[in-house]
Amino acid sequence: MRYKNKLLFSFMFLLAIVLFGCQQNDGNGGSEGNVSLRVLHSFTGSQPQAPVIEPAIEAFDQTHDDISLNIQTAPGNDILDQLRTEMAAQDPPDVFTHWGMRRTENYIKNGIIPDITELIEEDEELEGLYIDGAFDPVTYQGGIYGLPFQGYSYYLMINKDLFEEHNVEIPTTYDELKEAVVQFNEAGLIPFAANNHSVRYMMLTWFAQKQTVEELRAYATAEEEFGEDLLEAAEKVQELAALGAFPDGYMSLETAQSLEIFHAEQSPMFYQHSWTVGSIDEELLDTYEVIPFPLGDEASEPTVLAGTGHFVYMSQEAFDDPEKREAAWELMKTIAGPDVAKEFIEDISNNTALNVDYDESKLNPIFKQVLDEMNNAEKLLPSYEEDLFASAVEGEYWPLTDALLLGDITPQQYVDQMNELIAENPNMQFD
Amino acid sequence: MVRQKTLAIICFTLPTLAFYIYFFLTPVFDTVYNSLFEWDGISDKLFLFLGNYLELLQDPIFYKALGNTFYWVLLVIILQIPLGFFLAYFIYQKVKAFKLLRTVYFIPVIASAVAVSLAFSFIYEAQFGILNSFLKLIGLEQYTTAWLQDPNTAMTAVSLPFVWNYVGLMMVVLYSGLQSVPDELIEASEIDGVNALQKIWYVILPSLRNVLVICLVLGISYAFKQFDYVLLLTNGGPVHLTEVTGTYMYKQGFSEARYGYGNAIAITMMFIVIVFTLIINKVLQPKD
Repeated sequence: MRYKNKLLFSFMFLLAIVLFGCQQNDGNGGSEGNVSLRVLHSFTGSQPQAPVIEPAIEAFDQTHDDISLNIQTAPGNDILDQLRTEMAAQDPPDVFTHWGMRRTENYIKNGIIPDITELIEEDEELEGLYIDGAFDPVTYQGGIYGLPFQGYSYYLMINKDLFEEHNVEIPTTYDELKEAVVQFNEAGLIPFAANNHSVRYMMLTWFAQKQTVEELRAYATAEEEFGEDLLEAAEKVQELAALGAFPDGYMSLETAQSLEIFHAEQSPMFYQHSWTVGSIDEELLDTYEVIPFPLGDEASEPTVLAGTGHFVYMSQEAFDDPEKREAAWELMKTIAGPDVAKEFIEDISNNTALNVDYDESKLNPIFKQVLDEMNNAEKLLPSYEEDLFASAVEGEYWPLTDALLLGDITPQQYVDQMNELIAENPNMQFD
Repeated sequence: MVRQKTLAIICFTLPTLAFYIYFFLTPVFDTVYNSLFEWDGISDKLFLFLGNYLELLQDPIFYKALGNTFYWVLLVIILQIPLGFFLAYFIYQKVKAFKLLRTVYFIPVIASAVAVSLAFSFIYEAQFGILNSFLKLIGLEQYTTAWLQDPNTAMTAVSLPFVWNYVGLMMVVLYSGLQSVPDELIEASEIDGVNALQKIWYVILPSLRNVLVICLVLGISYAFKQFDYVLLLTNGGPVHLTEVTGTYMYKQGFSEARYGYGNAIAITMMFIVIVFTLIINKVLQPKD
């Protein structure tokens, strides 16, 4: 009998442990009167934005006794899969950071991310706080779904010493750029410290030099088909690749690795996304300079590609609970607020989506040139791939462009396939 | 007494059985079920019946990935198992410090895939990588290349970490098999005057037939399951050049949010592995 009891007790004990381990958090958490929010963000570890975002969220947690944060992180692109899995499991985080509509369209369409237009309009603190067009990538069929906090721009940086040493003229047009590429090749240098991202950015810039915002939108919504302009831009990058303008293996090079080639003075030119400015070696800043991107041809206009790239969202579940909505909104405003924006500019040399005052003396000199280039630009356009693709296009667009860069398809085939892709998946955000 | 024993057996079997059903059988049936739908994980499921499988049959990227996976299987057969056997036979000879060597050879098996991938990415890196630097150092600069991007080298380059990683496992399995080969058999063959190669070919290998079947089944199932090295070194690129079925399934399921299609790939892979296993068991079945 005692043996039987012991057995039963052991079984019940094991069962209790299993059930305890399997119990679900009801999401309210915290002690009575506290609102608990689960937060997911990607700015951790070696991400350049981590030194600003992480302390800001932790400070919010400490200064709000009535709000308790459960902070989860998935660095860089890892957040894509993490968030998708949580969404599929119907367990979305209450507040999370993410890219714009190109990566959140499905969540918006399925009602997982709420329309926060009213919250924005009713909040006087937000009036005039954000740069023009900052909400465009999170505006979907008339509603606004997130608060912008990080901006971006593409910049061309050169090593002045290498240009002088090899007696190469700084290129202002595509033809001059080709000459510079040949000269640097002859000197045993790799003309561009590039990876596949930089080469895509070059193509998009030459393409955008002949476009307006309205034209870009018409292509994205399949109202217009891509034609000569994209074809010429595609031909240019393929020609540069054939001329040996890019490093061996550039297609699989990490952005940080391409920057190392530039730092090692193996390359005189570097065209990249502005998040890289904070990673530039400070000891070499004097030898670097930001220059305008060369014009494609006589019909091209000087153009800077810039816009807003990262946003903070709340889930529909959090929105439906008045207490959580209030707490989530406070946190969103902190992340997308002026203090974080100021630190973005002064401390980590990162573009922001906000109009904020900052101390110019604290700016990284290269970042100051990037900001000046944006502020003085004759034409400022959003990057086609950052702002205008429908979600379904993105997965196909990268390998298709890689195929172009590798020479697997011709520029004409690229244009045709892009047109097919957009026709199948037009951007619906402006409907 | 008999009833008490029966109760004890039930009590101790039930949790394991419940775990097995919940954590193994349910996901398999769930995968089969979901493979019949078009589903992005969020929207409503759309029943396609065999639609995903029909699409898979016409998907050129899947065939490319399958071809690359078969290349891995080939490497298992011509490199991994022979190398594992060579190492196992080497330490079976009780060479000096064979225990230390056994541990050293096994270390890659317990090494993290992330660490191994990082090490190999340093080796393969086109500009500053160890391999290209070494080739330049010894005057073979003409052979330097972007190992992970060059169509001629990419697939082999991304496969080597996998081969290297599991050689130790094959060695351990084959070493345990070698220890079960009767000494009398080997001594008898030596008395009959066989040379070293004949001893391996006519005595040892036939005695290891069952162990070799295990190695083959393990190697093939690992080849189909593995995707971390590809994901970490090339992410299947450039342009699906190094795609394997594992990465393609993962990308379709998680990155492209096509869970139904991803599940169909998983079921197809499972089916192929089962067919392979049956063939191996049939072909290598001991003859009376």
